Amino acid sequence: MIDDKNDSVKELLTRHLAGETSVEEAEQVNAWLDQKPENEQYYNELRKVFDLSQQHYARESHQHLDINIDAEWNQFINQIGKPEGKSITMSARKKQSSVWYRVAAAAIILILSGFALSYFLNRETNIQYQTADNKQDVVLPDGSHVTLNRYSKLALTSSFGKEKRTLTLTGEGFFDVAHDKSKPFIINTTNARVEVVGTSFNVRAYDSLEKVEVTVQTGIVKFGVPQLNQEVKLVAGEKGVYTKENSNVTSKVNDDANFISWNTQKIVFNENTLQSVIETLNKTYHVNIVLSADVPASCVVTVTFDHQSLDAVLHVLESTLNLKYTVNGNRIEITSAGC
Amino acid sequence: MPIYKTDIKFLISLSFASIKRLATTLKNTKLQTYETLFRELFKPLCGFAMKYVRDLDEAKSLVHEVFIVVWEKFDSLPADTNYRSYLYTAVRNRSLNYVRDKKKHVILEHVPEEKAMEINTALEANELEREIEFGIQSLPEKCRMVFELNRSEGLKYGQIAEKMGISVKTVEAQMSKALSVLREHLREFMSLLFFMFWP
Repeated sequence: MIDDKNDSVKELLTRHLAGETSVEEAEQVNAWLDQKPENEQYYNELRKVFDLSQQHYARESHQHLDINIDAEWNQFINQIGKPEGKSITMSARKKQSSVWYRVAAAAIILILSGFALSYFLNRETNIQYQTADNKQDVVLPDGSHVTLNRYSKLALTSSFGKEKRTLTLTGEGFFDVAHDKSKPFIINTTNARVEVVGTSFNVRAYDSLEKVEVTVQTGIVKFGVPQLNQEVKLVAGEKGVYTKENSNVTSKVNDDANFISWNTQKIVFNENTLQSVIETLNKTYHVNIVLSADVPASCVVTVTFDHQSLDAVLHVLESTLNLKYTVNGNRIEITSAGC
Repeated sequence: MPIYKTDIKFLISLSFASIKRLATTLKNTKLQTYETLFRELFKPLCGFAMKYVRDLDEAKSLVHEVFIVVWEKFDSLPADTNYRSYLYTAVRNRSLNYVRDKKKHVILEHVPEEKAMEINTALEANELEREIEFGIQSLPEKCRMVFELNRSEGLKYGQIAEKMGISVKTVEAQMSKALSVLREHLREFMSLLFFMFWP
């Protein structure tokens, strides 16, 4: 019947459908189709399947589903976390068994421990979240939320939440920590350390920057550098700064209304100088805007942006301040301003 | 130095506790493998389940159940298991059970004949769409990847061979295999296929 087409015929027909045949091969196919009506029907069936599968891919129906994969994964983790401890009661029961049993068990343990040891030495048992040119929302096992900024990394071990809640951050993240007095929440960065019980705050600790900054939105945050034995307590509206060069931890009132613009996409300028506007835009959009020497520093800006693209922001500034700028990849140079 | 310390400590604590620790370690690497799988397939599987259960929340909880069940027997599955195909099969079975249990009987007595035909065709079209997805996702991994690069991304055989680091000959064979298997899988719909308009 139709099914005993040999492989080379099937391959030829498939290639023909995919438009991969030469002129001679196409003639071969046509000759084969003319041989008998079943051949033609077989070919038509293949063609239908071929076309349908393309249409199937084109629809990609799941793309539009409103699913937060991070939240779903956390739900999964929480669900499988529960039923543990079965194996321990099992091993306790085995205690009365014979000596040989124990010797064998000991030998196996010894061998397995060797494996485990090499595992421990070679493998990280960390859970990591890493962003490239994107942001990511992470829900931690304790219910705390973290939004990771671009090019940032969050690492925690499987023991997170057992006694303490300890994790490591490189880069920038906004933390909304679930309240739990018995388990302090500790963030380690390359040099600095942040400790809280339940608050929301922003940590900016890119290795490439000369400062580590912690800005508090609600609650109280302990911020310090253990090596230097320096620590400050920060309350809402305050900002702690660790300057790597002179090994100094200080605190002050936060005067930057836009410290989480990268996360909220809202930018508020209230009589800000052009210089500080540029700093904010650089942080928010991860670009490199520079000011030419001859642009007056006296320009002030008062405007609010909500979920605007960098292009849109630049256009507004262009028309209100009479700016002129050139774009060169990620580098944008403001060459003149009419204020 | 710290390595040495760990070493000693480990050898001293040769007890049942170390079994537990070993299990945790193995579980963690296993968990990482599983996380990759989960992140790649959770959403597509929900989309697939939706074709049966028609409700996102229902689809999500169903796919969650499948991931938990498969996690529990993850160890006992052979190393060369095609997890994608396995998960799709599991979701399909669970979806079919769900639909069977929840089925609402509609009396079609008063439906005009033409309308009934229309409903029937729509139902079959939906079923066909499910079967195509299931057929594709059940293909062997390499076969599916070749087929997908051609049908979804429109790559030519030569480009696929280059991208996957395989010979054009292999691409030809895999494409042909994929198409034959799918045709076989869609056999019962063949008559429908020829007088149905596809949106």
